[in-house]
Amino acid sequence: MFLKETEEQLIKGCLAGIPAFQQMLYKRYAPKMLTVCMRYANNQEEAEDILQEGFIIVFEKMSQFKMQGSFEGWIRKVMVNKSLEHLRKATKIYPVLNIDKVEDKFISQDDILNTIASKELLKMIQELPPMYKMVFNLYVFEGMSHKEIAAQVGIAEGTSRSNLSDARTLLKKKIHHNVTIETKNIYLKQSAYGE
Amino acid sequence: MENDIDEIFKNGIESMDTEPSEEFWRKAAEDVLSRGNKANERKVAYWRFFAFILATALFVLGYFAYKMQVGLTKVEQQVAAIKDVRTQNPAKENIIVNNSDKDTKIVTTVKSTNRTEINKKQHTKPLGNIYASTSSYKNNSRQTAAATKDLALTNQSDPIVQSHGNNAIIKDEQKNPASEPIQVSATSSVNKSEPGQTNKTSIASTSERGQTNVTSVANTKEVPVNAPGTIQKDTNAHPKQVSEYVLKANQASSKIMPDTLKTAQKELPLRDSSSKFSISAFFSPDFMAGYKFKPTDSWGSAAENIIKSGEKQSFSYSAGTKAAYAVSSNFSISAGLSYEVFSFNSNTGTVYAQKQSDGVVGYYLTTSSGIVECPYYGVPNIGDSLKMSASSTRRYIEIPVQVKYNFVNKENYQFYLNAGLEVSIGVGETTSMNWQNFSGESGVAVVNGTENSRSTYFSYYMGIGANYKIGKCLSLYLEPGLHTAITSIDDNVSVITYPRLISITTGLTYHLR
Repeated sequence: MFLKETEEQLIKGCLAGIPAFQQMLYKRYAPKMLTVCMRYANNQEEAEDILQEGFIIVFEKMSQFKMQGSFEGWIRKVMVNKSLEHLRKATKIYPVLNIDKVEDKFISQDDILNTIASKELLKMIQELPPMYKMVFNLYVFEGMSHKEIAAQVGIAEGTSRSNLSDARTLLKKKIHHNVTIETKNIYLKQSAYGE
Repeated sequence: MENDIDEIFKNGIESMDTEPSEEFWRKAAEDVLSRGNKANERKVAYWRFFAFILATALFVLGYFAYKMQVGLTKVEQQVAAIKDVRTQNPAKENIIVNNSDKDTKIVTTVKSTNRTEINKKQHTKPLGNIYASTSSYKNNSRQTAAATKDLALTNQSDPIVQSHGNNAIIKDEQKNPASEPIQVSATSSVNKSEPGQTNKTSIASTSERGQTNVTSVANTKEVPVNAPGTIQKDTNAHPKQVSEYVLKANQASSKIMPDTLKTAQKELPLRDSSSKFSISAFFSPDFMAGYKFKPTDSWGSAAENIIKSGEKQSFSYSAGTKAAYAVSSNFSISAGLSYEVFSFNSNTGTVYAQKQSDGVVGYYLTTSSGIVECPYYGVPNIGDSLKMSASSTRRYIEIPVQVKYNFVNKENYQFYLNAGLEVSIGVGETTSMNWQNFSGESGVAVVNGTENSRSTYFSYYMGIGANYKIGKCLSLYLEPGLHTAITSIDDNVSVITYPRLISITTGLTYHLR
């Protein structure tokens, strides 16, 4: 027996305070939004706390959603704001300077995606210094311009640019390192099996 | 390469889902539960407020209807008394109406006429119409007059209060100072004579100097009564001239309940003197007579079987009040408010985790009013199972509007048919689920609210009943009836349901007088 709630019915049910609809909202969006929160948090536990707080805001402010545009997009915005707030509160953010430039050795995107799992990519972002993490997430995933990021985070536009550049450098390093290790492992495995 | 890095991360993570931990789901369930309880409390508070307002409105309406009817009944009694005396004394009758509350008397003189007796319809008309009825007698010599009681004259000479023709006459021989208003009073009695003889009514002043009756008067003139019992003397009259004042009955005096009327009044039958309004309190055990099922997709028949085989009704009831208005002796209309509780057990046995259309996997209980998700703490996979038994309670506020027809209408008992429409407004649903998983762990989950149940549904009602009078104002009734839903109680599920309920209502009715 399938439930037939559309997004609109789900919202109306939640607004009417029906627990079953609220549970459904959690189940429908929690996994997706947890990934969003994890990009800003240091670990899953922290991300789940942000997610929980985010859902409370979602239920409280749901009446403000005008049924225009994507409801998922609206929830995502709430979660991003909650994550930024959390990041600001939890960490004293200092920009990381003097990033060593890595060798711009070409590794194809397919190679990387084949060798590195999504979870590892997520972990790489989590390991970024807070300010880099914030700027990188807002620029790449939320599609914000440096001007918007500067206004949102409270830094200069130039700082946003340099932070993004540094974040990319660090991530490249990590990818390079990761791919090298993975390649070595594959080589070792292949040698062991005499391939 | 910079854009590549962005793309790598975007493509790698964007569509990724991360399954929250069990701890997160536990916290989420707690959050939803507390939110649900708060919403439920708000809802209950809202309905309590609504019920209070409605009950107060019914009480106030009932009170005014009662007050109006009391006034009407008293006038009706006067009219009935007049009729009674007329029947006994066809020539001429005088009726004295005395009120001990307001110290006012009404003197009513009715000449013998060949008019038809006042019929029942006139009895039950509102006050204004009774007056209209009275004035219609004017040409046939029916008049009323009034004077106040117990106001002693302060002068040596008393004005004379006299019954003359249709009026009470105040005769003043101008011995009183012209500037002084005449304070008059009248004590009267009904002088009944044998049928065919002329009655005489003595109306006299009650000063310390005694009573005087005057039988002939002339040159009467009508004066209004400015205040009860006070008339202004005609200062232009000659000192020796006899001035006469005709007192017209005023409205205030006519509203008064007669005491002395009792002597001239036969007791009216109950039905004639009772109000058209009545209020009832009732209680009914309710029994499920079955559901009409309407499948909406291919899962419909399966869901129908689950409900049919798994759901067993437990004690259910409704209780409330209603107010009725008798349109005629055989027809009445009523409206009310009742609280209905419908409970049932679901013996579902094993429940398998299912994936919903939104991709969420969970344990779902199918009930006649919708689907309830069991907030199981774990993250189930499709095909996982739980042993489950559940009990559910649906609560409604019901507003019935009905028409009743007495097909047997005797003085002390009636048999009747009752039919009407009902609106049922859901005010709460609670499902308690006992589950046990394959590891032997067990728990109880309580969920407020049912997915897909509709907040309001309509039904029609048909009943047959018997009413027995157990006193002047009270009656007891028993009324078996059938309630059939005309709109479904749930929506957007594979099978929608229309319940049929049998009620056996017992009630106590108070007839306002």
